[in-house]
Amino acid sequence: MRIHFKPISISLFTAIFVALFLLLLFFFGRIAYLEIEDLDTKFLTASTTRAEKEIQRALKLSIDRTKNQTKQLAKWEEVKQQLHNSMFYNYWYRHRAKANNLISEHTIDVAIYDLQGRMLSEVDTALLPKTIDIKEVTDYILMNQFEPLLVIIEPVIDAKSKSPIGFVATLSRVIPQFLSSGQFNQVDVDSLSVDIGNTDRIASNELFPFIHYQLISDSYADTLKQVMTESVLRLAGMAAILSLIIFPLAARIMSWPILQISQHIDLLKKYNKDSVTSSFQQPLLIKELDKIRQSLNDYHNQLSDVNITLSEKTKQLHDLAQHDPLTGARNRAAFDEYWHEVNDVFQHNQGQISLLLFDIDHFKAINDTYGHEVGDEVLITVSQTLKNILSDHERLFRLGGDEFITVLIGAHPRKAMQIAKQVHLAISRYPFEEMGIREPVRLSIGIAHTKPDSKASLASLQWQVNVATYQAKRPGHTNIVMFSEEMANSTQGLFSSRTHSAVYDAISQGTGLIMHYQPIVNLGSGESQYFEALVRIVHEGQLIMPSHIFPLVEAKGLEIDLDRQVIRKTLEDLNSGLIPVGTGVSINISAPSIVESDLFTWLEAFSPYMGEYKILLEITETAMITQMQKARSNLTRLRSMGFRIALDDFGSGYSSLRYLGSMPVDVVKFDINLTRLIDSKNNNPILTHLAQMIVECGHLLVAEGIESASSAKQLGQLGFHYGQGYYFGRPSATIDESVPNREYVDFSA
Amino acid sequence: MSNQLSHLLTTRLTLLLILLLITFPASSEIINLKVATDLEATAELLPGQEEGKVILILHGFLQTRDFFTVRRLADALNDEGHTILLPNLSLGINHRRQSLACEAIHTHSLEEDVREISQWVEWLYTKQKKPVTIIGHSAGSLLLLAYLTGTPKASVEDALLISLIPFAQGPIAKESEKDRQTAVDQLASNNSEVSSYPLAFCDKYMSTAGNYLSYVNWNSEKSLNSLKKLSFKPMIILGGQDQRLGEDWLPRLKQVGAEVVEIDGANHFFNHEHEFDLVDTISDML
Repeated sequence: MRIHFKPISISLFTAIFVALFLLLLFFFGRIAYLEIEDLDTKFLTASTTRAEKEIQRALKLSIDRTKNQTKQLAKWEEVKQQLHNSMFYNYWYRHRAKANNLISEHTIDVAIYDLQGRMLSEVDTALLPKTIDIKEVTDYILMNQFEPLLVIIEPVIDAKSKSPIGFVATLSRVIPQFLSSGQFNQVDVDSLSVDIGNTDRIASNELFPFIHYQLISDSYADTLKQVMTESVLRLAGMAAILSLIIFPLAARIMSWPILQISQHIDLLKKYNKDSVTSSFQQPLLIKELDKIRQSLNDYHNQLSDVNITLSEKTKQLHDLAQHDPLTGARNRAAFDEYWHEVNDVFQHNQGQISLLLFDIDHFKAINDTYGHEVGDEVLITVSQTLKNILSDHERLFRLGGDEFITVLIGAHPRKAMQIAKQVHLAISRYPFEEMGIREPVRLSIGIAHTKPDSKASLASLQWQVNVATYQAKRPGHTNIVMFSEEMANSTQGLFSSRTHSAVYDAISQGTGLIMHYQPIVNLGSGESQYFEALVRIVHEGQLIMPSHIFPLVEAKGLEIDLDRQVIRKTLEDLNSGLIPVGTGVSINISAPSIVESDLFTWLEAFSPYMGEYKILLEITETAMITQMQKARSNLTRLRSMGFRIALDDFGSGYSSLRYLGSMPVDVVKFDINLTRLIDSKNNNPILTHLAQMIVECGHLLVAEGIESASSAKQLGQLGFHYGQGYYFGRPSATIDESVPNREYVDFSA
Repeated sequence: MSNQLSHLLTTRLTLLLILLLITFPASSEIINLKVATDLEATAELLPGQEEGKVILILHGFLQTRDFFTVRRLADALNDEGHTILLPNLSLGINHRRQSLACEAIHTHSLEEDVREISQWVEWLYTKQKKPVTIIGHSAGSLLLLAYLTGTPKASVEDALLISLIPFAQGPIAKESEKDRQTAVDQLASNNSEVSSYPLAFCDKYMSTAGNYLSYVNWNSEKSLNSLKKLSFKPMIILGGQDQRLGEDWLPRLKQVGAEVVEIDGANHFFNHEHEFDLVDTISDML
């Protein structure tokens, strides 16, 4: 189990450290004091031991010395003389017994005894006993007025016979003899005393236990103890002072830089580095900590730089993500984000908001005719013109293609109208001919404005501005249209919010999306060769037709998403057996999808049906205007996968023939406008020769819009292989093979 | 193994003993001689060679045969082959071996000393069967003079009196006529107690009056008279620097016809280099 300690402040840490230090100091101080006490006891024990040895040594020496003196006395011939003739013993006792150099000054009495133990002559002044026990001649100690006296008795030996002829005894003062016999370093000689208690005498060798003394104060030990004690106390005092005063001070000095760094870090979190570092320029006293602070500053500066760089990069990325790289105007994502913000603000503070949608008339035609570069220049010019007219706080967004939009917040509708007119006028006057554009470039401008106190108006403002723009683009209308309720009613079907949501749901989720199939009939045999899949949306029991779907799809740039749903739906129909085996199905593919790399993945799902069905991909000519190289490459690859390519709406565009010659096309579908030339005698030769030329080029021809048998017959005669139109069948959700086609035309050629 | 070692040691010790007996002369011998009823004196006999003289050497006042002048002379003469007897006068002490202090109780008299000398001469003469040459030092010479004066014996061949000194003579003599008279008075009063008297170099000579007088009476006059009367002329050897003798002693000796040999530079004890001069002189005389 791992224990996690809560970090503590350095002040508390210092206090704990000081407390521990003091505790340790007390502990070791106590140990040192006990050591000193122990040392003192050892000194005392050693002194006692030495004192005992001194006493024993001196005692032995004094007794031995006295004994030797008595022995010498026993050998003294004057003693023998007295034993031989004691006539003058009293005289000898007084004048010679103690007046010789054989005994010490501490011998206070001498006596000679005969072999019976009787003193040779009784002397009144004699301290020694008058008789001695010759059976037990021993040395002994007796007390005389509290003074210990040593009695030594030695036999006097005859030189010739070597046998005792008497005894000589000495009586000596023990203490003086004792003191003169030794050197005392441990014993206080003044304190020496002997107490044998109530006993009359004790043997001399038993004297030691009765000697009492005191030890001399051991100056060395005392001094050493004093010095050591003082040293310990001084050390403890100094350590205590250090701990209580100097150490906290030092700790404070030490902790100050750390606290500075801590505060520094706190400030670094709050403020930018410049404001922090300027307030921490004082050195931190400790080199390493100063280095740490410097490193912190460096790291913080580096992080700040990185932050700034990241912020800048993020801003750049954000700007890139929110701006159209071509025109510099904000893109659709930026508009959606901004519109979200506007909605939030509008909910809290309702005000006047105007939306202005600018759409370049015939921009695709300009692109097709003058190329992308010119088209781009037109876009840039329009964008720049709008920016010049709009104020700084009025943002310009490019929604896609040729649509620009701006939001005027707090502006009166007249202001919106004024801006719209300024823009329109500026574009009208711009010299586009300098770009090589011969046709006039105009803008269709829709304006929508919130109604006061209308919460719902903002939600539908985008729809309103689309309706207004749509109206502005319609022939016979002014190029600047402000949305009105009446306008809403007339275009309800087209731009109703109901249609919007239905289309969006169908495209995004496939909801309500269904396919209607219109037969393409062999003009020769009258048999349905294949069926064109035409998109429909069923919403709330009503059918939304392509005329309402595609403007929205194209306006919102949802072509790829729609194509994907169409492919998915067609596959479902194939799988369900809706389409008769042996026939085929053609799918309309928009221009953006042609150059979409995921298209191959989606279309691979048709592979299982390639054997039993003919799968055609119909490409409108307009779709092939941009990215010709990639489109040609993709189409070639699709052909290799088994798909057949049909060029749809041939003759409705600006320059269909240019692309026909270079594209991998199997089938060419003549636009209805071109097919109807069959009814005009003047145009018939053109149709005839055009059809002949295309057939000779190896393409299969399909005529659209055949509404009568005569047209079918004529077209068949012109070389058209297949026909499509109400004459052969309307688009339907179901295919009924039992219904015979109209009289077919044999146009096999 | 131990038996072999023991046998080897015994053999070697025996050989060593035999070798010592061959190499060295016979060792000295302590002779105990009963000189009174309950008193024995001792003498050390240093055996000499057959052709050597038999010599008795007597120590000085209160001394023993171990006094260096006596001992060295004895050893030197013994080394020359003479038989030497070194008696210790008992001075009233049985088997005395130590010198006696002035302050000790002196129970002996000069007469007793002379008697002991006589006993030792007779013992030696009897033992060695040769006439004895007697040599004395200091007061010992005086005792030999007293011995010769009293009863001359045929057992004495010759006498050498070294540093002959009578009592009450010379600069160190403590006794006075007054002291002598005091002793005389005490003796007359039958006082047998021990008293302190000045005698020779002793300030306090503890003795009875009679014993004291036995010594102190042998003063210069008595000594010179004795010399003069002797039919047997002893040889007197004096140190040229003997400070214990009075200045008139040598002239007075010569006046009485004494044969005196003076060794230049020698003191009373003939120590140092004069020890050899003394030995040489005596050797020449023997």
